[in-house]
Amino acid sequence: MNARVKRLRDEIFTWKDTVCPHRPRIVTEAYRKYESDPVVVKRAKALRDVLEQMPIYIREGNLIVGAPTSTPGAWIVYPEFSLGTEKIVQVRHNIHVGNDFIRDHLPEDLKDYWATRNCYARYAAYRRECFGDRNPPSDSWYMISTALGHLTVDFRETLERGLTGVSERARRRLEEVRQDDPEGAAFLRAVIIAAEGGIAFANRYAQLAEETAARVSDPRRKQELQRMAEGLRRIYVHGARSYHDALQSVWLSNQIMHIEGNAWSMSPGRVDQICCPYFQRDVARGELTREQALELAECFLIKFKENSIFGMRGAPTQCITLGGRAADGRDQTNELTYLFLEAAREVKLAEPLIHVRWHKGIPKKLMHACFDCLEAGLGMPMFLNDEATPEGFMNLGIEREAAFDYTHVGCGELGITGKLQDSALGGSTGHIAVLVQVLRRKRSNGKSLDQAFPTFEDLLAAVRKQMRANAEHSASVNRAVGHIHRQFGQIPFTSAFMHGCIERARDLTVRCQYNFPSMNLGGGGFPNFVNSLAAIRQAVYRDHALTLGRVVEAIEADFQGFEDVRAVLAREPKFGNDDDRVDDLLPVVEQMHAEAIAGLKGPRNDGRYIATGTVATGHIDQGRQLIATPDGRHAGRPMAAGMNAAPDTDRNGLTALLNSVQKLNSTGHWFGGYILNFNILPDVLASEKSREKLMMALESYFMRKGLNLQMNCVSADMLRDAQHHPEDYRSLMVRISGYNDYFTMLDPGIQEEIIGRTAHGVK
Amino acid sequence: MGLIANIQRFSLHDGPGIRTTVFLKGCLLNCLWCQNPETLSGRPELMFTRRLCALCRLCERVCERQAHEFEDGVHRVRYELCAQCGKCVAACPAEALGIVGAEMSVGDVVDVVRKDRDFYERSGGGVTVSGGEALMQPDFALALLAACAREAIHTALDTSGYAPPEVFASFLDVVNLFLFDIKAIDEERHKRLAGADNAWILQNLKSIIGRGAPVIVRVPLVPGFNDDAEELRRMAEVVAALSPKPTVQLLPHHDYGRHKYEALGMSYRMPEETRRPAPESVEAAKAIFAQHGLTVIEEV
Repeated sequence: MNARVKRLRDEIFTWKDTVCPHRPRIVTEAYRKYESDPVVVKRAKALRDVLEQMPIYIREGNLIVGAPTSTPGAWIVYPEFSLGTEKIVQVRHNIHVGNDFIRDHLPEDLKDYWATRNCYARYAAYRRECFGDRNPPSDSWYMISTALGHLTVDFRETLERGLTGVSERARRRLEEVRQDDPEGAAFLRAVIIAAEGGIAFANRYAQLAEETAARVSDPRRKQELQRMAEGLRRIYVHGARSYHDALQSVWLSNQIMHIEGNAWSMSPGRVDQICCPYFQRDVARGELTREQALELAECFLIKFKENSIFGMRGAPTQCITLGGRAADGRDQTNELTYLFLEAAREVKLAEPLIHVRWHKGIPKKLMHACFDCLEAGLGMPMFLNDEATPEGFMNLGIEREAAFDYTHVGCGELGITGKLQDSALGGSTGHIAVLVQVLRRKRSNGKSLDQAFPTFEDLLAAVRKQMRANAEHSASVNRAVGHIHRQFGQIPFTSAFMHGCIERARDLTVRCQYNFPSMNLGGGGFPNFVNSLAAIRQAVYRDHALTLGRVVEAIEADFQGFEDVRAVLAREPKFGNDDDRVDDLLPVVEQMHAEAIAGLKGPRNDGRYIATGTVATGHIDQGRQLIATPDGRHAGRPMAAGMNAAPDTDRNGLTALLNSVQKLNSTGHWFGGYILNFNILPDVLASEKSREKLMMALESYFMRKGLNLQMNCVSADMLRDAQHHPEDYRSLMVRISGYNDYFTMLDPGIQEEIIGRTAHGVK
Repeated sequence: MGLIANIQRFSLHDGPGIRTTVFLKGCLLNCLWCQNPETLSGRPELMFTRRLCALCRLCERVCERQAHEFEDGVHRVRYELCAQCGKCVAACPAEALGIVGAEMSVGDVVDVVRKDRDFYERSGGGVTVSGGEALMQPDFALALLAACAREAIHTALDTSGYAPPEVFASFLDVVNLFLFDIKAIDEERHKRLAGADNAWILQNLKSIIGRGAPVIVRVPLVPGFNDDAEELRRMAEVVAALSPKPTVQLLPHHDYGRHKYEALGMSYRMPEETRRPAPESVEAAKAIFAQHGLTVIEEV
């Protein structure tokens, strides 16, 4: 990282939270001005007006421009989706400022205008009418407050032909449908208007770059700015001509999508693949050195953090996906794969997330580059698996070429470049919460619990029934949300980058090429659920050591006065240890979930629900809200995230964890992906031999169809935390010759020594 | 049945590849620096980690032999009273208590070892039987290694070499790789450091190498105890005189296991200042072995 890049990076952490007032003001004016237009056209015009009018900036020294706000790091407001009357964003991400903060910065008349008009308000009204007092899943508030996201668009058309290319295609299609498809015609007009806005936006940045160039005295910067201006005038009118153009085009388009709607997890996808032809052309012409290419990649990555949708302290929801193999088996690793990894390692930021697609032919050199990142404390890349994921997609009926063009969308779910809308917004069946609900409800009915559920199968049947009911309710809420998005939350600019939208003359909120709404398996807490079932099965139904009634009393009391009950429950086998006394329940739970979502109608009127086991941060919030659970977890403690073992319960090391996870039906059930993390101490990566062993551990897991693995090299800060909260870090293992021990057990002096050798984590 | 201290999966440093290391309990040596003191005794033992104790006194309530005492907010364990019944361990919500030493059959252990077969096959790993000194339970160790070998799982024996030569020789057929520790050559020094002479050790080493067994000689490098140039030179001479010459692996001393002494109610015998050897002295030691024509590795 050179001095310029370092300054661009470090400055980010000095910014104060502010709210950008321009987007909400301009959008509100536009909605008033264009009131009689079809909504989709009105939204496109509002976007165009923002792109033409919002003040813009170019940070001193930056080589990539484009931001969704008028000042760096400001919060962007989307009044047409929600005004922040709900606190979901705030609660979920532990952000110090949130919707209250945003609301305080908005003028009263603006709030009055949107109070009954935005998606949130329309959904609230609809909900009252359709669902009465029944509380919808909390996710629905988040779903309705954001635009459709969780996808990877296809930038290739814009890279090659600019937005004029997109616009021409929409115009041709418009000629075909104008006569007899008024809805389609409105959408296509909207695409054309939005594209005009995009071109204007790029030209404004070009103009600002020229003005700045005229002002600066440093001849080198002057020249840079002039070149940037030329690129910005070119990318949307003619297409990208250079690697710099390509990065600029991808970034600016991505930002326009973030200005259009407040979707989460809108990631640029396989940047090494899409930018490589431009890179190679530049290098062949002698116009680009590796050093320049790296600097540009770093400037590109820093933009993600600079303009994180949740502000500087927010949860990351954008990622890039690197490497992989093509449908014909060819390894797609290229120079940029390495370059982006190096850039990520140098700038060391929490966003964007970095994913690398593993496959059996992955070059060893690339694995080492990945491990270098881990060792540096980046916590990334996360590995995805080409030996399993495309197979799962093909099992869903997705064509082979597309299945091998998959990406990660940033939150936890998978996407396919420009073709898949696999939204996380499918709702949740609930899991551990369902079990708790079932146990507590029976008790309040007056009947003894143990009479109500004489066998374990009776208990399972009740959970199954409740899960189906939750899934059905989730699906109907989801359809309500989809209905409102289709009418009021269209995103024509984003739609133009998705296959199937211009062709069908329909917005993405109607559909794109592939639509598979995903139903999260309870978000966080899947392992807690499995563990709880196993503990109840053993302690209550097999050993008769406890009654069900006593288990419920104990969890309601958070085990206060029931320490003996907790000791029994906590000792039962736990998922993540390769122990069939609990892992044998995995197919039972998968089946339960498959039945819960079978045949449910998706929000965009087609596509079947698929299962995901992903969660970015929800497991913490869900845990905070849930009482103690029968796996011995205390009230308020975090749930397990995704397929991770429940906190502090995997004690047998990586191979055991991977064996447990590998028992899941990854390509026949978990189409939407799952997440799996494992903490290692950096010592494991310090030597060539250990690294090779780790590579083989990955190979074993991935060849047996594991979907995902993130190895987190623990940071010094984490180890400090482990010293103070050993109960949260019991599974952290120190490995040296002839000796293995848990970190938390070590003498404090030795812990200090290890901490001293450990890198600091990302910001 | 064998008495197992611990089965450690995903071991990266106890032989080639990814391994499962089975630590057996019991050792006839008593090295001053031992980092696995919980494997010394051939009986199950109670371990108490004071830092994790929540002073809830549930152990006191369940113990039938008054092995747990609480006085002025201090939890004192009377190890001599403990019968290793495990009731306090089950009751302890803080996981501060544990029993080390579980009776297991060969079949039980192989069931665990077998689980990571795919990892072994891809990485060239397998099972490592370690200790304590595995040869303290010769019948069990032999049966375990034989059972693994029958399943075509690569077997390694991590041994002090301190066993009667006829017993030691019986392992040749079931062990694919010996990880053989040499702690000192000077007999008096060996007695002082390890609590016994090294005659069996040197005899066993020579004998198995002579019979063609693959061996890695492992030398713990303990600053101030066995890392002087003279001792290392003598070690190198002895090892280099073997035919064929085995590979030598240096194991720089560490004191990660010191907390276990307190947990077992034992006293730590190494001087406070003995920590990891400096990188220069590891390099110097390496050079001495290399000068004798030996291949020196840091990792397998």
